[in-house]
Amino acid sequence: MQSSLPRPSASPASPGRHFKLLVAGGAIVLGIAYLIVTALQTSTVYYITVGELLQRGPAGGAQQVRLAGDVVPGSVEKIDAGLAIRFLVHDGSGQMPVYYKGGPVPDIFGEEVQVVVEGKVGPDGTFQASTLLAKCPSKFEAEGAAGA
Amino acid sequence: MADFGHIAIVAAFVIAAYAAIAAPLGVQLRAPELKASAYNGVLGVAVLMTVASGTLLLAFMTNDFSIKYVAEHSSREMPNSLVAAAFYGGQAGSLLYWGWTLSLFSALVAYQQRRADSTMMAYVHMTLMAVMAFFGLILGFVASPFEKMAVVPSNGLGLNPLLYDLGMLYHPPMLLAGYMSWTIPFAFAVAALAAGRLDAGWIRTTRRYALVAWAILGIGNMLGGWWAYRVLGWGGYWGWDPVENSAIMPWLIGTAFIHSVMIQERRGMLKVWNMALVLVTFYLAIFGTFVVRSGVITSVHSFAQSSIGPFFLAFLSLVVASTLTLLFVRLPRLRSENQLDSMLSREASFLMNNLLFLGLVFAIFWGTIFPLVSEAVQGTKITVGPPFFNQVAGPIMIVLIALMGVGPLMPWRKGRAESLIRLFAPPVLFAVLAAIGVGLFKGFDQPKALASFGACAFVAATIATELSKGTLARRQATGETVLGALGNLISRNNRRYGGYVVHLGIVMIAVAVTASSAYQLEQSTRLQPGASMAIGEYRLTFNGLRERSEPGVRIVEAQLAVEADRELVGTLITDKRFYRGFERQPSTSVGIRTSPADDLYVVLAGWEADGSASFMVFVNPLVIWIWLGGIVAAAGTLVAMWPQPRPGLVQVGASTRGLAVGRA
Repeated sequence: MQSSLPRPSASPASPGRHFKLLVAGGAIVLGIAYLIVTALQTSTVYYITVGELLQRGPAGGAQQVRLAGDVVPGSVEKIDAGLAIRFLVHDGSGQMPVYYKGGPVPDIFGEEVQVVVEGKVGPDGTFQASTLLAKCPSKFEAEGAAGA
Repeated sequence: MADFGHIAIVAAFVIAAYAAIAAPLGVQLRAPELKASAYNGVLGVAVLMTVASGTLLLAFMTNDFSIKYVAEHSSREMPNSLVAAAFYGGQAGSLLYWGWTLSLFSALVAYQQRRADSTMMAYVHMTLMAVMAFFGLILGFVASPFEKMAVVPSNGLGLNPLLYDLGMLYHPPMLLAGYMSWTIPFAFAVAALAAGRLDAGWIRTTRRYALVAWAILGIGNMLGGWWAYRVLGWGGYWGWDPVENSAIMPWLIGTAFIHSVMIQERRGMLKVWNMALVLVTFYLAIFGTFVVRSGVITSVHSFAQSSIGPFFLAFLSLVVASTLTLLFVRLPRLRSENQLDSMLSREASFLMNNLLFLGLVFAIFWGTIFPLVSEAVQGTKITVGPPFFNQVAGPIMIVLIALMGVGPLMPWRKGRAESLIRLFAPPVLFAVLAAIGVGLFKGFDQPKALASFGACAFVAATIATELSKGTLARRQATGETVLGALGNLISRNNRRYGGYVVHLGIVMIAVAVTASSAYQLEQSTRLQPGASMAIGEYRLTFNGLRERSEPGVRIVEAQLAVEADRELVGTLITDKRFYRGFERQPSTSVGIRTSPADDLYVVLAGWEADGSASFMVFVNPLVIWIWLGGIVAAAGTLVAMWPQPRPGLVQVGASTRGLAVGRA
C-alpha cells in the first residue's frame, strides 16, 4: 500500500501535502477499523453442533447461536398452515427440538435435509429459531447461483 | 460421444500447456516462429474447447444418460429451454463453461492484438494459456464433465426445480463469465511486468478490457440479485452469503481499479497500486471459485463439495507467489512520474475512493472468512451474519456515494478552495434539503437511510449541473439545439459522460437499496377464503386455492385480489409446484406486483384442509429502480467504452469542463 502512494521528494511543498494525505488516509483506515470492531462485538454468533449445545446445559443455552444438523425424518410438523414449523435436528451427538416462525421456509427444506438454524434455547428446552437455512448437497448443485 | 469430448479437453490442455511454455521461450530465444506457434495455439484451444462444449450440449439435447453429468442434471421431461441451464447447472459443466469462455476470450484478444508488440503479447498468451491449462487439467483429469456411467439409466435425475427459472439462463453464465474475464486484464498486467513494458501502453489496453470485465461481472451480480428476489421468496435480493460476497469482492476491487487507472493514464502515478489492484481482482476471482467449491465456508448455496478445492488453493497460491515476486522484481521500474500536488485534486479524491473500496473489501473478506479464522485461533467457530456486513458496509458505501459526486468535479492537480466551495455549495444544499424532506415524510428514526438519500441527492445534483453546464456551453459555442448539444456533448466526450451515466445508474440503485432495506413492510397471516388483510396502502383478499396440472407438474395456486387505496388494481397469484420426482420438495412461485413506488411481494407459505392458506407478504419500496439503475449503469458503461472515432475532439470535453470550473 505504502509504496504506491506518491513518494516524498525534494519538491518544496511536498511534505505538508504528504502529511495531509496520510491524515486523510489514516482517518479512513481508522474509521473502517472502528466499524469492523464495533460490528464484530455486536453481531458474532457461535456456530455449534447439537452435541455442543446439549453439553452447555440450560444455563449456556440462552445465548444466540447457530446450530447445524440434519432434520430427523418424520419429525416435521407444520403449524398454522405453514406459518411456523416444528422439527427435530440431530447430528451424531444428540437431537434437539426446533421451533421456527417469522420467516420463509426454504423450498429445499425437508426431512433428512441439512439445516442451519439461528436462535436460542427457550425456557421449555426448545430451540427458538429466527432464521432457517437449508441445504441438500446430495441433490442440489446450484452452481454459480450467487444471488440468494 | 463422451470419449470425443474428453479427448478434445485433453488436447486443449496439452496445447494450452505448450503455448504457455512456447510463448516466453520464443521471447527468450528470439524465435518468432515459437511466438507464432503459441498464437496459433491460443486459437486452436478455442476451437477444441468449443468442440468439447458442443459435445456436452449435444449430449444434453439427445438425452445421452451414459454420461454421468447429463444423467445427474437432465431428464427426459425437462423442457428444452433448460438444457442450457443444465449445462452449467453442476460443477463440472460450470468449469467447462469457465474454460470455454476463457478460450474464446483469449482467442479474441489474441486476434484483436495480433499486430501489437509481439513480446508483450507473447507474455499475454503465456498467462492466458497457463490459466487455461489449469482448467484443462481440472476438466480433463479431476472433475470431468464426460465421466461415464457404469450402468446407463433410462432417465436422468433432472435439475432441481429451484433452478427452473429464466434467471438460470442468464445469471450463472454472466457471473462465471465475469469471473473469467478478469483473466484478460490480469494477463496484460503480468505481461507488462514480465516484458518490462511498464509505460502507458499496457494500461490503455488493459483499461478497456477491465471495463468489459467489470461490466460483465457487475451484470452477473445484478442478475443474481434479480434471480434471488424473484425465486427464493424471502423478500430480498442480497443476503451477504459467502458466495455472494465472493462475487462482489472482485467487482469492488475492479471498480477501484477502473478509477485509479485514470490517474495513471493522466498523471503517471499509482503504477504499483494499479498493478496490485489488477492482480488482487484476479486473485479474488479465483478465491471466489475456490470458496464455493471447497466447502470450507458454510454457505446457503449448497454446492457439491468436491476434491477440486485443494487444486484451486494450490493454483491460487502459485499465482499469488509468482505474480508478487514478479511485481517485487519490477518495483524499481514502477516509480511514479508525478506526485500529488494537493488534497483538493481529483487525484486525492480518487485515492480516497480507492482506500474506501479496499477497506470495504477487507471488511467483507474478513467477515466471510471469520468462521475459519476464529476456529483456527480460538477453536470455536464464530460466524458473522448480515447485521455485521450491513453495519460495516452501509457507512462506507454512503461515503463512497458522496465521493462519487466530488471526484468528477475536482480539477486535476490542484483546485482552489474558494471556487470549489462555490461549486459544491448548491448540490450540498440540495442534498441536505432532500434528506430533510425524506425525513419529514418518513420520520427521522433512520439517520443512516437519510444520510444515504442525502448522498444520492448530492451526486444527482452534481451530475445534473455538469450535464446542463456542458450542454449550455456547447449550445452557446455551436448554436445547436439543447438535445443536439446534449447528444453531441455525450458522444464527443464519451468517457467522461458515460461515466456520469454509470454514476446516475448507481445512484438509482443506491436510492432503491436504501429505501427497500429501511422501509420494507412485512406481515405473515393465515387467511380463510374470502378474508382480507391490509399492509401499507394495499388490501389483499384471498379468493381461495385452485389445483391444476401441467405436464410433469402439479400446481396448487392461491389467488388474491389486490386493492390499492380502496381501488381494485388486479389479482396476484402465488403457487407451489410439485414437479415429478421432486414431490417432497415443492417449489414456490412468488407473486409480485411491481409499480414504480413499490413491489407487493406475496409468498404462499402453506395451507390446511379447511381451505385456509397462510401467506408471507412484503411491500418492498422502489425495488424496480434497482434493476432499472443496473440497465442505466450498463448503458453508461457502453457509452464510456464506445471507440472514439475522432480522437482530436476529445479536447472539447476538457475545455468545457475547464470552463465550468473556471466560471464557478
